[in-house]
Amino acid sequence: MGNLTESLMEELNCETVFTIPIFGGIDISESVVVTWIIMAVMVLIAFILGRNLRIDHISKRQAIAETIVTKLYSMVEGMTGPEGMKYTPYLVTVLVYIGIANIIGLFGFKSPTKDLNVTAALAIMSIILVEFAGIYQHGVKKWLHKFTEPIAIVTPINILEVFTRPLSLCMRLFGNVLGSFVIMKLIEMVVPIFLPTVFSLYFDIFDGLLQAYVFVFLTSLYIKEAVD
Amino acid sequence: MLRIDINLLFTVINLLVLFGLMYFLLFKPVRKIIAQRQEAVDQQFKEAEDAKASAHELEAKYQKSMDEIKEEKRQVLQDASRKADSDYHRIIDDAKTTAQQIKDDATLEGENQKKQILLKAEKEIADMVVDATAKVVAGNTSTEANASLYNKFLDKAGDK
Repeated sequence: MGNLTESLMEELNCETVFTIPIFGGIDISESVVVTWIIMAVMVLIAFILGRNLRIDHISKRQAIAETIVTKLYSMVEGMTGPEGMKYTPYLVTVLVYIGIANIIGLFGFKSPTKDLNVTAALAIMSIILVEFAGIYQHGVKKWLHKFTEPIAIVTPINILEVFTRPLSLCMRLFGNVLGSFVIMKLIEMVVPIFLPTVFSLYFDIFDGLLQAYVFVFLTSLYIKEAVD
Repeated sequence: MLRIDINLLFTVINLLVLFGLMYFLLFKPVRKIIAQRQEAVDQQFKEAEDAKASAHELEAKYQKSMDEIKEEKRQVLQDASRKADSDYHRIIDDAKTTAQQIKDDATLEGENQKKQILLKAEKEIADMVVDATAKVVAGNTSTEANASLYNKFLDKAGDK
């Protein structure tokens, strides 16, 4: 049991991989390194898929690229609405990134989303995007006025929402990934064969992709609300 | 596990870089190509639509000229038939007139010939009478002779 706790803690801790020896040493955590790996994979695939596009007589590669991009776009655009369409590329990127980050544990890496820094960064960027979308759409005055809608008394709650929304986004993602990881480890300890495979399908793949979708879905919803 | 540090900033930078790269390497070119294709397809549809419209126009024009030709044909046929009809009647009338003329001529001719024949016969009879008379007078003939003479005359007259 003590062994399990130890290995769990070991897995849960986001270790510092290396330290950049400037400004008194900058610690680079494992999550950032794994993110680089994910970035490299995504960018490589994007580079391969996005080259030599033609209007007609398209290659199989281009057909795949178009299908992927169109599906992802239509998935997100349905949630943001027509006004929020310009934020689709970012949301699609985040969707794919979180999706890969959540299931990369299957390939032996430590999920970056198990690090609070990553989920916090994602949530902060989301709320900045949401508020920016509101300001861009309506201007500062109307954006500020929106805090008093529908009635003035809800203003504190609306202001509070600016902080609770990213917090909930961040914690939901972090908690889900962490929770499913811990449950998977416990199942592996209790029944080491067969059962982990079945549960892994749910916790690692389904829940991982679902959380990516939920994160993007909520961000889209907030954007839609902000630009309405 | 629960530490917030400089790595948050790194993650933000990572995500921005990732977004930029994904956008410029994949999303933008793919969207652009889809938009271009849409444009090309729209263009083709428009061209097809235009071609269809002009074809319809041409068809209407041809239909009109066909109608005109049909009308003209009908007119020409009508005129021709009318002309033929009148020609027919004229020819028939002419023929009738000519036939009447010929008939009249023939009748006249017949009459004349009849008259001439009669005249000739009369002359011959007269001659014969004169002849017979002369014979009777000259021969001082008997009753027998007279009778034979009379028979001869009758024969001759019958021959004529």
